[in-house]
Amino acid sequence: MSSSPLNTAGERLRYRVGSRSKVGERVRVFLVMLVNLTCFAFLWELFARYSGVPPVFLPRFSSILQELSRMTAEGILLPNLWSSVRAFGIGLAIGLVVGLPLAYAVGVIRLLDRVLSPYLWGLFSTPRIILLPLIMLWAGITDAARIVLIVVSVVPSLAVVVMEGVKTVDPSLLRAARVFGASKFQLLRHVVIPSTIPIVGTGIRMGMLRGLIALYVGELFVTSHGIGALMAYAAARFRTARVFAVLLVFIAFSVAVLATSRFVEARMSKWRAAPEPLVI
Amino acid sequence: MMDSPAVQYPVGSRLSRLLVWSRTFVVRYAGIGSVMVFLVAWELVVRTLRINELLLPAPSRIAMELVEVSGKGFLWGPLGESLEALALGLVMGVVVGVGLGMLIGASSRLESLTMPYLWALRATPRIALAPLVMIWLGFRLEAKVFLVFLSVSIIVMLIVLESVKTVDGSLIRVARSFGANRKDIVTKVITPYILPSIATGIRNGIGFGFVSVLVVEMFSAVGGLGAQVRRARDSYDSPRMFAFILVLIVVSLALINLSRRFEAHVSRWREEAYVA
Repeated sequence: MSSSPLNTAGERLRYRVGSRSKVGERVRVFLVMLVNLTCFAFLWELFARYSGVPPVFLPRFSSILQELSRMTAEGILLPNLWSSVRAFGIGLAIGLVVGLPLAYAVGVIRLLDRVLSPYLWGLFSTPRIILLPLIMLWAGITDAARIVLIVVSVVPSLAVVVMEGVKTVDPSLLRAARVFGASKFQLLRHVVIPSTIPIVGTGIRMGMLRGLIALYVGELFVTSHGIGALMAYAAARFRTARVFAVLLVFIAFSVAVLATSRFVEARMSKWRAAPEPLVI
Repeated sequence: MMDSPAVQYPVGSRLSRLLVWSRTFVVRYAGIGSVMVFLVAWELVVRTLRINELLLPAPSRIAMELVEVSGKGFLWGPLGESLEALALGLVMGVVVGVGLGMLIGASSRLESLTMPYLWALRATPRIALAPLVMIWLGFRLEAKVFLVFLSVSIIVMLIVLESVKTVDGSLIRVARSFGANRKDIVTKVITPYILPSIATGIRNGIGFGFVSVLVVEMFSAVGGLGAQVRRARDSYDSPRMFAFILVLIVVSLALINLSRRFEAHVSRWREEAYVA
């Protein structure tokens, strides 16, 4: 996609207003957002209170907030959140350690590409939830299954993006390096890896977002702790306010993950053009 | 890309021709070959190590189970049920998603108003709404269709929205100076321009929509292929579970492949290649 330099509405807003001081504008965007969200919550409260929709279907916003503090008091919110964050971190780390070397190997060695890329593309394209029963069969209904599911989601999305990226390395750079007598290893070390770093950033972001789905699905079906499990437990008992409360926490966590991944991507492609405004 | 021959054999010698031939042969058919090798190795490993059927049934056993299951009518009916939910939700989701995306993408005021919600929708896996949808609508077709609709419309909206923002301003100015009104600009400039991204949205929507269907079915164990997988798993019938999983993999790869072709067809006139 052609890259527009203005990625988010906030940046566009700042651009239109004309940024006199960056910090001032940031505060302003933040305030607008705060007012916006407050209005949303207020309208929700009014609608839930006076529309006559039963609270099982649409709880009041205030009772959702109450549920948050009640869960904290019961001591079930923070430990479950920590369990999810930890599993996500471990899964992501394993995925990176396995996925990056794999991606470069497949991108560089043609035979490996032919042999492995059908499987990687297959894993990339099939919904990982299909593999969940298999993972549960082999890893057991344990914490490990949740982490394996995350790894299985992170590795192909990272690998597919990076190995396609390796193929787009400027051939004239490779030729130049070869003319100056670079060995294969030197080509990899000094040409291929530096020029694919922005793509690795994109791959990491895609891996993180897909890992998030895997985390949620894993908790919904496998483990008895974590945010998804908390939500499934509340839903099975029709405690809708609690479901919404956990959903809010999960949204906050996801937004944090997305923001982190965008930051990483922007940092890694700093020396290149601005990151493309990809959606997923 | 990096394995240009390091050693040059004299051109035309029989050895060099043989080497070139074997290399292209190996490279060309390595994909199919590796699948065959994989299947044979799987069968051999299971037979020689006498692995318990519960943990890893042999491919031949899975194939037999597949025939049996389709004969008993456990396969095609549920598959149809799953695909029906996917198709209904997909159509509705694409229509609503394209509309919303164009609306929000065209007006920067609307976009800054919806920004925090767009961030939330972008970041959060849409299947996180599954428990809520099951509370609202139960486990039947409506619930599946609604969840598919939600995930498809959201992803299509996000993709279309980004794409509307990149519409070339000079195209719109040209159209306007030739006397085009608002409706003309939308139907004759913007729509063709964003057609490839609509196709991208559909491809992504099929993927996410299929996951939504499976989540509801596997969670509830009612209706559709996902429920069949769940039942086979709960009764420790591994060959049957593998057979269903195999069908699911083939179906999802076929769907993705179809949508990729559609996407390539629609975006012929564009040069960009889409990652993701």
